[in-house]
Amino acid sequence: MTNQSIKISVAGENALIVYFSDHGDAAVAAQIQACSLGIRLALGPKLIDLVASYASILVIYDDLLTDHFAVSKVIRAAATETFNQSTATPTNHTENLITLPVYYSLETGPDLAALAENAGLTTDQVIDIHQSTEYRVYAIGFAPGFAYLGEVDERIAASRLATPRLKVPRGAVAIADRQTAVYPAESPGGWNLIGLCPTPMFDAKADPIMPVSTGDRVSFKAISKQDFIDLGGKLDILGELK
Amino acid sequence: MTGLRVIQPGVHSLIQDEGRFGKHHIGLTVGGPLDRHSFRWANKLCSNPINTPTIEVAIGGLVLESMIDTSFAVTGAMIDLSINKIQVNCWTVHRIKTGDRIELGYAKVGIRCYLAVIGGFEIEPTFGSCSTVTREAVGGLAGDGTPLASGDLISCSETPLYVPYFVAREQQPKHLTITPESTCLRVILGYQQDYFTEQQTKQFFHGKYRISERNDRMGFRLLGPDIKPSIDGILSEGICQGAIQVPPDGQPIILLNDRQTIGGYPKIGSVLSLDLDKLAQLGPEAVVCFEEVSIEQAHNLKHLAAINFQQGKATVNLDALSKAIEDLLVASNPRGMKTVSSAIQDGSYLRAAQLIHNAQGKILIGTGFPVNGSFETDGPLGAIALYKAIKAIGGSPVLVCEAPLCTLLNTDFQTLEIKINEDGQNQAQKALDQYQPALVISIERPGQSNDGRYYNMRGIDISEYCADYDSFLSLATCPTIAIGDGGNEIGMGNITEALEQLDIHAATTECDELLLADISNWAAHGLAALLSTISGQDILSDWNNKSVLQMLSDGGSVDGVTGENTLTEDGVDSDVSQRLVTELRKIAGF
Repeated sequence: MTNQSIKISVAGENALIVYFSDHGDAAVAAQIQACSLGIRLALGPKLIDLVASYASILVIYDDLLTDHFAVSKVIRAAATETFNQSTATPTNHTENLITLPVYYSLETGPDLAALAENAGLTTDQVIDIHQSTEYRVYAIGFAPGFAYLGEVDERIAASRLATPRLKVPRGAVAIADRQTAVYPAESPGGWNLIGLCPTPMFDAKADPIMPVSTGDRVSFKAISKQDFIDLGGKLDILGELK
Repeated sequence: MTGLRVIQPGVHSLIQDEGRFGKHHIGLTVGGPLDRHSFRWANKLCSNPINTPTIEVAIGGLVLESMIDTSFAVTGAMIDLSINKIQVNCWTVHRIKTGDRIELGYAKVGIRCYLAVIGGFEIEPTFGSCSTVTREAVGGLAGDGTPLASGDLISCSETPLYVPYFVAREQQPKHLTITPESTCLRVILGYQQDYFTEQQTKQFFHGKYRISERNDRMGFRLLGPDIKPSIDGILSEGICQGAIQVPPDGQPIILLNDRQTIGGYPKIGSVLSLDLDKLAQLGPEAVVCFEEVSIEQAHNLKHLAAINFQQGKATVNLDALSKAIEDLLVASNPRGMKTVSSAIQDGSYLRAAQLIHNAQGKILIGTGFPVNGSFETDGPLGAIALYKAIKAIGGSPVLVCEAPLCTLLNTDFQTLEIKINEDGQNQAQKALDQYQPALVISIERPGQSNDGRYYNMRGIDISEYCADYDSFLSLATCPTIAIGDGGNEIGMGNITEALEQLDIHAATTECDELLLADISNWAAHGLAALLSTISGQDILSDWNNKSVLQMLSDGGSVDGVTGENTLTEDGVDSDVSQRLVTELRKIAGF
């Protein structure tokens, strides 16, 4: 598949899935973000829901109002529009760039030391590499507000823990393979924890509910313990972390 | 706040509305009822909008106590349901009063039940829906995904009115009444279907799969022939309802309402949602098989199902409707009719409505209560209402009264005038011979007391103003119906003993069916409501109480209680009657 072609498959009775590529990268993420918007606008109330992910968009439509022929057409038109725009402006950087503060430390990142050791780096080097990369939100899922960010620099990529933790605190910044994420709520999890982010990733009362959307650019910025506390971060949630 | 109190939550009871849509972009799943068909029927029975919160009860054991008067229905799995330990039917609307206890046993066939109340539970939605998704800590009573627990109060409002709907057994989903050998689930192939070889796909469609112990609202794990795609995993992508994913062990998982929104296992296609309703009612050890349908077939099937559901009508329980009408019409009890109503066997309105509905021939409707040389508004208005209702169902009514009322009515209605100074029996016999009526009705006609005289409610002898309609009922060879609201009207001879407790000159004339109401006119509307339900025609839709009162008033009518020429009936404002008509129309299912 080239960047200029899409494949549309049936997913279910009222769902089509659109594949943009066989892998996720920044360019694909940008296309997916633009195309998702196009589909949303074109389908309006006929759209029930839409899931943008690494290299695909799942389009769920109201099959009492439309059908897969009509929705396929809408998807193709939105994709063509997207490709034409990205050809016109090859470096399309109009997407949001969100900077998330992180208190990286051995205290808040119980896997930081092991990760550094396995990578043959110092903890400071791991932190530097993590915060000097610009990530893309490839997908949101797994749990409410859980944003998969890629791609993590190969040097600090780390496989999941052999035994997942039963409790990962809210705000934990973590790495799994070449992905990184901020846990939006306390949950079980098997990713390597390297710090804590005081920014809520999912707040039902906030507008928007999440600071990031699929396709957005995200970077991390190291902050001190004091900054972390000033920004509303809480350390007492670390109690049970091992 | 008031509503239903949870005494025991049962095995797993969750608040569910249609589900949470348009929130996948923040990672929220859909939730909602696993058996959408039963859920929708629960709301339909309760005359609620389809997306109204209900309780989804898995397996059973739910016990609720009502803090208010309301009505509810339970649909879904076959389960024992009782109110105050008295067994009642599922798929039926039941009236409950403050303090009543609703108890669900344990599902005998199927797994999940849906309990809806009329007017719906009043719950603050989270992210646009009340659906409880425990895994996401979203929805439900407190918005935090908690299942129902003992002591919870599920808010809902007092609802005085209800249509006593039920769904006949033959209209209930078949899979809920018969334990199936194996349930066939129709599948739309899609997603990574190309990664499954022809051999694997065949195996899948020919195999029988057992539902494992690992089944919940996220998904059902199946046990059966392995199907292994040529890839282990894929780049995580959106998962739709009913998607069949195949992890590396080759055992398929059908993903349901609480599924994660994205995942990285290959999927062969998705189960048709109509069949997920059946799946939701299956437990471990049940066997399923799969059958392929195209997306076009699926589209047709869903449209047909939507039309069927839309057109599918619950049946009105006429006995319950009649009882509801009987109770409603004597609720304010100004002249003791509620007090004496127990002397009449329940179902009088239904029996009367059926007599009217089945009458093959003329129906005589006698009315008119003389007051000061004029006539009361109560009686003629009801007679007109009955006349119209009988006309609407194709009958041939005749209004019977004396002048001046008769003169007023004979321009617009078929009438028969009776005279005051005639020999009553002779006059009646002549008319009966001439008309050969199939039914004789009296509405608010003075009835002879045991001394053969007529008295008004104040005990004044009004015989000199009264023609004899009593003889129509006593001489008729056809069935007779009489309506009254005080005790001194024709027909009250049926309940002579009960009337002894009231301070009146009771009438002694009998009839086949005596109907009581707080105002006699209202009985006519009650009958019209039942006739609407029986005939399927919305008879009360164009009733304009004020315009009929205006016509009577222009003809010199007086209010029987105040004696004034006003647009009132027994001192009650016309709007009150019009509202009652609206309510009656509603409970008749229109």
